Amino acid sequence: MISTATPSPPRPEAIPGIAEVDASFRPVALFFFAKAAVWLVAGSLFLLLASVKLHAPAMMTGAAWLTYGRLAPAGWDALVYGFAGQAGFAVGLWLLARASMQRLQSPLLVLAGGVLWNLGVLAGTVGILAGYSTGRELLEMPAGALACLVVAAGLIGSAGWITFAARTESQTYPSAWFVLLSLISFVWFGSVALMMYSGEGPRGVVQVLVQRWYANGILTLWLGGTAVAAIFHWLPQVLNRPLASRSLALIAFWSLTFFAPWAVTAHGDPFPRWIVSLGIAGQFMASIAVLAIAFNWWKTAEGAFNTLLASPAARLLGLAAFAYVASGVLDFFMAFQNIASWTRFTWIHQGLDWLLVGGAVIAGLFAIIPEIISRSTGQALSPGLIRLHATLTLTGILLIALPLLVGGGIQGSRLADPSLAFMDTLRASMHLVRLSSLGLVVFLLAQLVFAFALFGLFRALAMECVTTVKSWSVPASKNRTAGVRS
Amino acid sequence: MNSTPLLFLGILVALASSWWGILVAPSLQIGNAPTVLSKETSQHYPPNRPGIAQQGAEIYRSEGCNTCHSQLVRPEGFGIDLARGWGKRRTVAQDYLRDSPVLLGSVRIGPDLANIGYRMGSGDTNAQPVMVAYHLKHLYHPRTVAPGSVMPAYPYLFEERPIQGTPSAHALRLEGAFAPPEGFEIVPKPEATALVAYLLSLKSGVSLAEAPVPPPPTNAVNAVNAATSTTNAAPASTPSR
Amino acid sequence: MKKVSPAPARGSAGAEIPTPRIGSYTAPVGFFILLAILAYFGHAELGYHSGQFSAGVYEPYANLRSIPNVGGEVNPVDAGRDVYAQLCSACHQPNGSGNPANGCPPVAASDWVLEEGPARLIRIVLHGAKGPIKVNGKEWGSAVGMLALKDVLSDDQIAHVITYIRQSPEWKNSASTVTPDMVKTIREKTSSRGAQWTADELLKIPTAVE
Repeated sequence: MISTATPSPPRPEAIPGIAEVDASFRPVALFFFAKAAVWLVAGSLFLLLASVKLHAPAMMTGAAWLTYGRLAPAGWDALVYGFAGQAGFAVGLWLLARASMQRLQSPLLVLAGGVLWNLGVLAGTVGILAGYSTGRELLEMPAGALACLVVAAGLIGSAGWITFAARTESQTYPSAWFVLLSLISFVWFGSVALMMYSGEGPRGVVQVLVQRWYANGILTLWLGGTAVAAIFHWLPQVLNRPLASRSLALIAFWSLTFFAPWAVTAHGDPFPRWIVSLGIAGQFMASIAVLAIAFNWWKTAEGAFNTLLASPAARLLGLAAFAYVASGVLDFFMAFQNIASWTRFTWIHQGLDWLLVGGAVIAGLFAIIPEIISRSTGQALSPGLIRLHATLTLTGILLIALPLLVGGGIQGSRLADPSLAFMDTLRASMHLVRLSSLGLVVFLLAQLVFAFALFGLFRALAMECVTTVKSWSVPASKNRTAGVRS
Repeated sequence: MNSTPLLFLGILVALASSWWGILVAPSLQIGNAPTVLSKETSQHYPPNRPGIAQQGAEIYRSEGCNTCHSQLVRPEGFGIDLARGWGKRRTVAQDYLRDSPVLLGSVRIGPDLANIGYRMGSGDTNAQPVMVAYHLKHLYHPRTVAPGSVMPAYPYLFEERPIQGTPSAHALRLEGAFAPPEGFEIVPKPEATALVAYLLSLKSGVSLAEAPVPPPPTNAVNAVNAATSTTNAAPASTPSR
Repeated sequence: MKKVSPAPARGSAGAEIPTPRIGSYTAPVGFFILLAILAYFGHAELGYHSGQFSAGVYEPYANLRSIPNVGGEVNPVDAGRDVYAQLCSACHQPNGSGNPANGCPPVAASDWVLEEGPARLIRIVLHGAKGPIKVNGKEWGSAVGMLALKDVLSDDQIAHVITYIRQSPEWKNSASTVTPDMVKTIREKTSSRGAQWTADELLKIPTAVE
């Protein structure tokens, strides 16, 4: 796979420098991160309300759009699609541009995709709150909204692949492969899901297979792929060391692509046995990718783990790497029947989701977003606010995910005892759910801090714009060279 | 990894492989299964839901009931679903044939509902009016019938209106703090009635070739044990375990 | 403005490089052995618990024959119809007309099926059949032939499916019933047989089961 043959080298003037590559990113970074920050706050707020309703169910029951069954999916979708997906696209494209050493091609395509994406997420979230949810986990958005997302992802993904095709580097860094995978993944899983749910699709439980395949696909390949790419890029830089092995990254890439989408079933599911076994086998094979990635990161960080604890941003990165591996390992163990029989249908399910989406994806993205913003816009976000944001996000995610995982274990062991009434199984774990709600408060605060910091950046940029415009009122001959900001 | 088209093709082939294996193959095998004629009931299984129950399914979906409730029963040894009395047998693909969407659920913050149409507290378990009244009260305010429940209330599925002449036959019988003010009654809207009809239609107990219902225990002692075990941990006001 | 990010990656010449450098670490053999073990168990899961890739086998059953037949009197024709639909209709077609394309002979109104006794039919189902066979005056058969079902179906199921093809009301077949005991007798008698039957061998065997 590692070829020594290079395409004919482009003319020297055509190879952009790092600064040019970063600068080409400016409009995309500003647009995507701003919108993503808004969705993050909205999603966290919905999820906080939903979580509080779990232990204070009498709260706000008068309105249909505030019921738990609508708030929780709306909040989760806003988090996944509105923030993680959107910021993931931006981060992914930047990583790809850096690895290709090429300016972002077709930025208008990306921006058009961004507009359509946000429209889709808005339509989807409003649709869920209004009662048009499809009921399928992570696919609750009405079909029209999902179609918008798929088209938008297609536009954004095309720009990414075009950039890669125009690359000036012959050997690309592993991050690029994972980003390319994630750019295709959403379009693939989304369009197949749309197709199989429309018209005379398969009846009965095959619909559940479609939903599980889609949800697993977008979490492990789309969001997971971007998180892995970000950590591959950022971990060596934080540690100031080279990445340990290229071949391990290659193994991880292909095993993730081939095997991860197969891990969709669990023991006891209402499918014929062979389908369940297929999914379990897929889970085993997908663990190969997780192991290869974990080993690679371990070897890169060996001897320098303390650096990962040195600053809040580094800790966020450390959490991301740890959470990704932990969620893969836990998924592996949950494939075993004797474990799944008591862990299934407990808070562990939500805990694992938060571990992957919150711990690996969101923390992983936030570890690198401040760098991208400062490189592409030339302005850094306020360092104090970013440190605060990193600390609060780290605390928040740990406070959300860990109590849910532990609480799920308690709930599961109680559910496994048939002599215990159902209500008792919940009671024992409720105080941990309260802890998780507290975590959501901290998480929401963190995202408000980030939004505030971003607002500060926009203000600074606006001031610059004003200064530039003001300078145009000075005699023309003196200021033709001042130029307009790209 | 150097050729863009090859990389694209490689990723596409890899992604397509799971599509074929996990979606297309099962869809060809069970995606268009016919109903089966049950020897037990001499009717086709699964039966067509009556119109109002189908409307109730839409309410179930739009209120997001499956974010807390599951609708599947796992076999012996794979979970305690059967031991908790949540079904006579495991659920299989045939049970979900007429559902669209199929709302299996992935968490149990509330009990499993696959066979809620059979279950209730003490007394005549098959008395339809008793079950309907129970579920309506439970939906209106869960803590009237299940103290300590974390299920949200759905008052917007009901209407509080002044009593005109004699109280309506459909009015909920509520006491204490939950009762409406003097001169008012709580009447279910069509949505609530539909949702309850849907819940009562959730039955997956018919014996199937792939999932036979185990025969009831034959001797008297076992029969008594079987009967009491399902009601043991479930006091009258909380029928589900 | 003060940056929060760590120092940018630098290449060997000290200039900033766009992506981190990559080292040349080679993972130890043990690591790849671990991956291979994982892959093995993954495939073993599918191999041992495939349930014969049948739509009728659900956990915890391993195959069709281990599913208990509970609940009272069984109508052999109905039970046989289910087995036929699941296993036989793919080749012999749902209407029993056979498939000239792959050489599966018909079972509806077939002279072989409607013989006096089921001894030959039971043998075919137990061990399979291969090669040319003359059914209703026409030559059928294929090189691969019919596979053995002795490990796939129980005596009950074999008896039911043969009863069904002999008595199916849809095909207006009418012949004697096959009991599980008949199947058991023949299974024991031919327990050492491994190969598929050929038409010539079968024609030498009397049709009655003794």
